[in-house]
Amino acid sequence: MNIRHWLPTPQKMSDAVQLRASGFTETTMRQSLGMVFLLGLLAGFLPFLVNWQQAASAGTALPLARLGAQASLLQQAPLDYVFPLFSPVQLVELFQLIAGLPQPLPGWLAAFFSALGEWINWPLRWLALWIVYGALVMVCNSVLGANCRLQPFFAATGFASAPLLLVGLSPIPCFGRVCGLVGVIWAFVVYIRANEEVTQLPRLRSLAAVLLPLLFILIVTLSAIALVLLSVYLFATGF
Amino acid sequence: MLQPQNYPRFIGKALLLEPDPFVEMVDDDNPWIEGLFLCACIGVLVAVAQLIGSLLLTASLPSSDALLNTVLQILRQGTASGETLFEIERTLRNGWPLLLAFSGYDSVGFRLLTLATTPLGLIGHWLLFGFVSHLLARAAGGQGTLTQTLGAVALSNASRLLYLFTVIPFVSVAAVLIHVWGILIAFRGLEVAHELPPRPAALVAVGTYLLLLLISAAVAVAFGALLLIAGGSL
Repeated sequence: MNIRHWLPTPQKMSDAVQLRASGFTETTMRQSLGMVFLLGLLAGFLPFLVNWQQAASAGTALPLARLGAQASLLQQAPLDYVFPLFSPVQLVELFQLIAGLPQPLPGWLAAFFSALGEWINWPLRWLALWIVYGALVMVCNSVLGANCRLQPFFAATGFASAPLLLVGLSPIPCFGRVCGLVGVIWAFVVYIRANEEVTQLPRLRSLAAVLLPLLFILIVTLSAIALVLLSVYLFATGF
Repeated sequence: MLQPQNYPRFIGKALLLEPDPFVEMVDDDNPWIEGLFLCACIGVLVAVAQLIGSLLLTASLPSSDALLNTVLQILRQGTASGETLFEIERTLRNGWPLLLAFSGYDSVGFRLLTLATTPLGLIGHWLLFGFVSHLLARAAGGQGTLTQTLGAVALSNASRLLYLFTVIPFVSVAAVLIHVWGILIAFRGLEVAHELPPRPAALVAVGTYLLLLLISAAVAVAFGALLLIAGGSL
């Protein structure tokens, strides 16, 4: 297996993040797939270490360690929490009790497995974003008159994952969040540029094709929330 | 003739939306046998991965009984009382096994069952998707035969191999990724098997998926209605 078949050259990545047209050509979908997965793994490495340390110090799996941490936060600001079934004190007690329940595996190993799972979720989420959002953008491109095939499209848009590496710095207090925000905005700009380059659509149309799926997702999400709220309301009032 | 040694190459290229594996499938002497075997292999691999993942997840977390009892214990000390408390407890106790089966946590018995049901479900889905997409593709002017369609469409299950990552506990693969990638692969398969232009092939792939989604929703609603009519005594 030749690594050059699975990754674009660093020069290509550098060109793409600098929005140069040459960065988005002569790359295959296979290389983009490799790049998205590898960069997702790299971005998730620092959060993996932090998660492992957090869970191992609590001697339990990551979700339970987080519950325990949530309990500590609730103890510091109990008045901010309103919950109809438990008082805040009981909620803290519940979280602490759950976090303290023993598990069959040694604490450090349970912590490792859970942190590892969270780490692998990084590239999988990036893949989902790349493929699912890409499919929606391709529909919009097609409606707006672009005549582009799927493979070159996915090959070019995969470069948006390069600036997303900055999101991996998120565990660093304050600075990490700023980096994450910059990374997301930068990735979006690279995505728009890649779409424009690969579809040869005018800039405004290309921008519309990238933004329309966002609007679609927003409408679907709001509708789903409204449906859930309506169901809860109907259930609570006994129809 | 069955060519399992070619499946990894087929799957890799299908995921990258390359036409070669679809051409080879369509030109095979028995495309639907290849498709059937491919679906069964993917189903078994995914089920085994999910079983191992479930075992590791269960070992990494406290026992589900202890967890449920802790929640119920704190709930009883909470602000809810009387009829409300009874209803909440009943809902929790009824929903708990479903939650466990869905998450794979403390449900190894159920996961053992999926060693058989996952490949069978995948084969059923493939046959249904193949038949419906074949009818729609023919209606759109496609030239392929049913066996060729079944062979090509079988590769759309390649994306399900991402579920192999669930061998690691706490990994979750987005269902939307599996389905959308599957539709993209099916689109390429239908394009090749029926020699359709891109737009009709895309419409057939998406249309088939939406139709099956509608049928699944209708079956779920009918099943729910049946449960309601039976007064929850099923």
